[in-house]
Amino acid sequence: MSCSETRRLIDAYLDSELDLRGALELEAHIARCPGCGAEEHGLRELQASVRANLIRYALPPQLEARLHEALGAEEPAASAVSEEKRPVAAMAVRPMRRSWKWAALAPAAAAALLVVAAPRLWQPRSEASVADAVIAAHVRSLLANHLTDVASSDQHTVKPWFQGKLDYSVAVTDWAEQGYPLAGGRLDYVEDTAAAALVYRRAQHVVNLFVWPSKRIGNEPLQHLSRRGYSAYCWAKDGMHYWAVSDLNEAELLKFVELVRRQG
Amino acid sequence: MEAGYNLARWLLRNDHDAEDITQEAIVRAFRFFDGFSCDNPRAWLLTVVRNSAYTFLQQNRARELGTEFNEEIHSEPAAKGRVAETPEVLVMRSAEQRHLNQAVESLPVEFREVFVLREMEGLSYKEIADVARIPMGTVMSRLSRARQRLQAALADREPAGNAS
Repeated sequence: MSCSETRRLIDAYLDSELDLRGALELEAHIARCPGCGAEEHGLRELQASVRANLIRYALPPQLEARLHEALGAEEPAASAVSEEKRPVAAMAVRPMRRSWKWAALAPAAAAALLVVAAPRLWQPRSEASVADAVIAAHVRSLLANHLTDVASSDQHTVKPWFQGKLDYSVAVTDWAEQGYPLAGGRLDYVEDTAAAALVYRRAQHVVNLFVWPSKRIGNEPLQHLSRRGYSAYCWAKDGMHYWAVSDLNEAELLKFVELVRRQG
Repeated sequence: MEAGYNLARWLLRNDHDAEDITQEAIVRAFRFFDGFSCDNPRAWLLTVVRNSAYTFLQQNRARELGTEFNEEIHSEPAAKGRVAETPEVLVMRSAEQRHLNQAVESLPVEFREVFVLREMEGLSYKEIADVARIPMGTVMSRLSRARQRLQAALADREPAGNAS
């Protein structure tokens, strides 16, 4: 990786938004380039200082009272008001407290929030972390312009490319006629497992289809979840995990997923 | 909700306007709240606050917008009297803290919002792109430029030869 490429991507690297290969190349570069190494060190110091020193403005009590009146809800607990007065350092995120404030100010909204959040609570923990890993891999692929290792719309080029790189075989189909043309393939990692990433396009959107072998035997039904503005479907079939991730709307992504599930 | 006020306060740089805009935005947010079409209520509330703050700036302080072309406006810090009123400022622990907060306040608003959403709210690039309605590449470049400016501003303030 060159110095100019490093400088372009260093912020994404610090924010953990860079793909694995990009991050490794960048780390290798800053280890041997004193200039870029100093840049990284300086940015990390700035980040630490910002997180320790930037003021987090607390909700003023008078605003809380006004909101209260405007939303026509009950009095919030008095302790919550006085506690909010002091400034709190940046990054002191307190989701519990925040959700209680929603509850105090608008019961209906809080109920809706629960409906949204509850399905996530029922997911096994490992599933949730796989979801985070898969979505992170999708985001990184978009950001570092590292969408494909093999760019081809020809399934007979993409499929053999994976052979020799993975110890399992992946079905590759071009769905151009159905509106989801194949753009290529990429080697990716999901939680330390090498995964095939098949890249499809739909208008301006990208769909990443991740495929890797399942440790569990048997099939798993289709599940949908959305996170950080992305939509994902996952299922397991014939010993393989499948995850389709995109910023497409749910219906269009589901259409794609059904195409994949129907194949052989 | 606290995140919404914090964002408004950083975008508008004074308590009074931030309170008005936060109230307006939150009331509007609740009026149109639809839990079934919104899978990220926090990002969505921040979006409403951000849009309200921008509308306010356009109507009342248009000078502060579009500063990518007119950046020298922001080399002047926010008016001193205004800053000193807030209790948060009175308890600032150190010179470092004061300098840093002033430097962030002096960033052009387009850079400031991206920076606050990332460093204080911990939003991902994708979420910031959605809140600010800009491409992800622009999120990355604005963050990068914001950090460069902060480093330059802080370096200027440190006395020469005072390496620790």
